Amino acid sequence: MRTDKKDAWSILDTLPVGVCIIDERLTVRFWNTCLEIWTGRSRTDITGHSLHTYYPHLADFPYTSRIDSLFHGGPPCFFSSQLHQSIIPSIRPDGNPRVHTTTIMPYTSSPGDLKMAIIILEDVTDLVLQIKTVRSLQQKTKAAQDALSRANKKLNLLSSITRHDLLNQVMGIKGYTDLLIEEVDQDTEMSRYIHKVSDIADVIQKEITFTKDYQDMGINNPVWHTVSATVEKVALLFTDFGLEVSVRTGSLEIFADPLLEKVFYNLIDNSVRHGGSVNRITVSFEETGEEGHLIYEDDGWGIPQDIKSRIFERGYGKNTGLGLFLIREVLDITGLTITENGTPGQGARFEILLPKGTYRNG
Amino acid sequence: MTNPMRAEPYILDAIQELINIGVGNSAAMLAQLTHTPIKLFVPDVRILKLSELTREPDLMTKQPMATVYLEFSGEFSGRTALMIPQENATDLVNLILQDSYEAEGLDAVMVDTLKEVANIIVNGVMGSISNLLSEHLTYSIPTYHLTAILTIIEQSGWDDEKEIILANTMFQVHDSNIIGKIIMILDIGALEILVDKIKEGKPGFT
Repeated sequence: MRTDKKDAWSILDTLPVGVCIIDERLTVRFWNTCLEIWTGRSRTDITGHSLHTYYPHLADFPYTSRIDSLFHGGPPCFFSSQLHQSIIPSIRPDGNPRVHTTTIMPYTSSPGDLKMAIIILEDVTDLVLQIKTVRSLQQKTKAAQDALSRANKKLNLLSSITRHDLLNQVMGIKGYTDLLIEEVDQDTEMSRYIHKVSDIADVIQKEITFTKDYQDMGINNPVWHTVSATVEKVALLFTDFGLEVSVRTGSLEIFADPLLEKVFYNLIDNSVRHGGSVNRITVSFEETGEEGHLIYEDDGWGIPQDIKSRIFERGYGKNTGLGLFLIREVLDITGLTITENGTPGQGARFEILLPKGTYRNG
Repeated sequence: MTNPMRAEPYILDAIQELINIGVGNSAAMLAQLTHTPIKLFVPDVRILKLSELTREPDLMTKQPMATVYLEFSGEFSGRTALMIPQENATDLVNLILQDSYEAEGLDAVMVDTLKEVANIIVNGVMGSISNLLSEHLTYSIPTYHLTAILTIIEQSGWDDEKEIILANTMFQVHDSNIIGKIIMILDIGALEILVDKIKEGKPGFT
């Protein structure tokens, strides 16, 4: 080996990759420091010997064929870490085998020189381990999600069957109480009891129906809703009440659970049921800084000051006590919050706070 | 510049045979390497101008494809790429490694494997062509890209007159079929060199 070539190759000792230079007979011409450290085999020992002597698997067909073609003018060869753990095996200090990717390319230092090839090995052990760890975690997460989804499906099925059966039984109670009301003299103690039973059956029916809405909440991914279209669609269900519904939100879209319609349904239902003589409902939008405010107002009696803080609690209210609770829960799925800040006597005013990213102009 | 392919269909047959010889040798090597039954076919080959390639319906997509790319230079110069839709590439790697990992995309380990598979195939094709040419070619190191052919073309600044050899490629691994494309983008004049060599009456092509 000429001294100038030795000098040129010595730069390869500084690289953090294994580098070996071989000739056409697979005789080692150069073995860099990194390979000495990885394999524990010194340059002096291996130089001048065939790679086959130390690594006999390289005499197998897939290697010889590809390396031969390279010496006959073929393109560089790439050896992956999965199809060959390493073409020059070595052990890491932790006792595990080192995993490499290897590139072999033709190398001729000057015209007329022997045909040579340079083998470059990159240690990808840590990368492969990390990827396998991530894959294992992903598979475990997926298995857990699948199990959760199956359990949820079973629970929903059980809940749906139970709800159906319970509603049938409640319908039975309602049917019999209606018959009894017709049979029993009015204004008697017995009649009052029967009416109470009938009212209780109504509440049970509503509570059971509510469980369906609550079950559906969060099941499907949130989507962008055009506020005006959603409110106008819901308002159609209240046409018999002669309400004037005005939506001043332009092309505003908000990111919310698919049950958003239920939010506006319950708000309007609340106005109609508890607002007294509500004639006008207005939905509008304001923006302050990086927050949006979606405002729902009616011209009814408003909410008394002393109950404002409790109206979103489950079970609080004159009807089922579930309507405003459901609204809060649906909005909360995408981080929206609702408060009531109207002036008692001047109508209800519900304000939905829209954090940045949950609203946009469509 | 006229396209000699259109006048002489047997040239196209010869190129298809050259590529099939290359991928056939590659399939045998891959099968031995992976202990997996692998067959490779190139059922059709077409020659187009670069400007015509963008009108190909299945290449018009901007959907990225797993692409392994090799440049070659010398008397015959250009670049060859094996392009496989990302989802097909994931399936191909899983079939070859006999793995059932449900990946959303190709991770570094899968890219590595694909890169070797593509390297063997592209080298097989180039080996077959360079045998015919009897010319020494210089090659780049194979590189992997997740890209669309349209993006490559848009970013290349290549002349619209460049000739393209487009070969649909079918992998049969176990009982599954996976489709990819071998695309050879030739520098001006390279196609004529290949055609002249075929016309010179090399064995098997007369």
